[in-house]
Amino acid sequence: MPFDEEYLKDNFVSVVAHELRTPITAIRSYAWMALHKSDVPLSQKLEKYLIRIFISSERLINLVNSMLNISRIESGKIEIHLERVDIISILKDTIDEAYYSKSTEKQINISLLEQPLPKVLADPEKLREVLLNILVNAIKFSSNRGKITVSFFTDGNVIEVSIKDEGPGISREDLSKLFKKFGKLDNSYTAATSGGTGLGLYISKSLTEKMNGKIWAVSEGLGQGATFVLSLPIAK
Amino acid sequence: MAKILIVEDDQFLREFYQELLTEEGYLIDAAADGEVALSKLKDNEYDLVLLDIMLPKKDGVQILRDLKATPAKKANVTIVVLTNLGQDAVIKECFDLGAEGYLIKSAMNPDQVLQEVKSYLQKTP
Repeated sequence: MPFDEEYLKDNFVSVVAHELRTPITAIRSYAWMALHKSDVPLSQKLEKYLIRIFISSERLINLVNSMLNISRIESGKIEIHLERVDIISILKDTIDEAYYSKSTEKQINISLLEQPLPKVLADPEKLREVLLNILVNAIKFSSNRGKITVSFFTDGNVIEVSIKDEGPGISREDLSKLFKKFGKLDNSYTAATSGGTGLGLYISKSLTEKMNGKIWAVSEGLGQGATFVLSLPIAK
Repeated sequence: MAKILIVEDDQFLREFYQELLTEEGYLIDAAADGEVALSKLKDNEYDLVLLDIMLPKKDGVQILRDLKATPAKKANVTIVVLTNLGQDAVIKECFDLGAEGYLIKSAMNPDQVLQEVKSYLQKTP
């Protein structure tokens, strides 16, 4: 029996997360049903309220997922399987995923400056999660028809992937808080305005470090866009 | 028209999937716990089963295990796990025990669930 008392003791947060997701999924599903399958026309007001219920339930689900992720990382339960990974191929898939989930309505132009690269040592699933988080952030903070550029640098030991956006940028003061849990920022990248959980970059940093990599952000300041850099060791 | 068994213990979600799929024209049967699900699978032929994992009386993993030992009335019935439990070990075990797919409820909009159902039914023998 996989869910006996011993299992519950060791996986309390996972089980709580599951229990939370069930009613949240029901809220989201019925809001979707009311928006898409209603048998009476919705007034503008009602439609707005239902969209807000739907979006808020998505935020709750993301928060629960982040909580679960952090609990696994911090308790050391997360399993990292390092293997030789073609970072360009993972990036292409992740760009597609981020693009179709977030940027079609904004018409963001994402360019990948491809170059021949050796394989990196990483966990492909975790790497995908980190890259998706950075790309989705970049899209979220880009204005309509904005440009995102993905480029590479290697010194023979590591590969650095830079994801540069033309968004609102990050102040020097906020750069230091960016990768902290609920790092509340004064000017940009805040959970309240972006619809994020305030945990994504903390999770990205933790996962990157588990893969022996580094992640950091650079910005010339507000209004100057931001560049997120992910560095991973080359597979020998 | 394809016949689908929904195994889901949460009443609101069970009725939601029932309504969603009925509107698409599918014939729907539902079970709220693992024992009822197993007995329905032994007595009836379904084209597709949407199976939750955390269930009263018998969880989804046990249902898959039992079906491996004693197959359902339609021996090669397509079983797709539809759950909110996303642990790697559970996912692997479900595939090892014969599940065709593993969907996370909270990560999918209802129209994506419909698309998946359609695509699994197209592959159904």
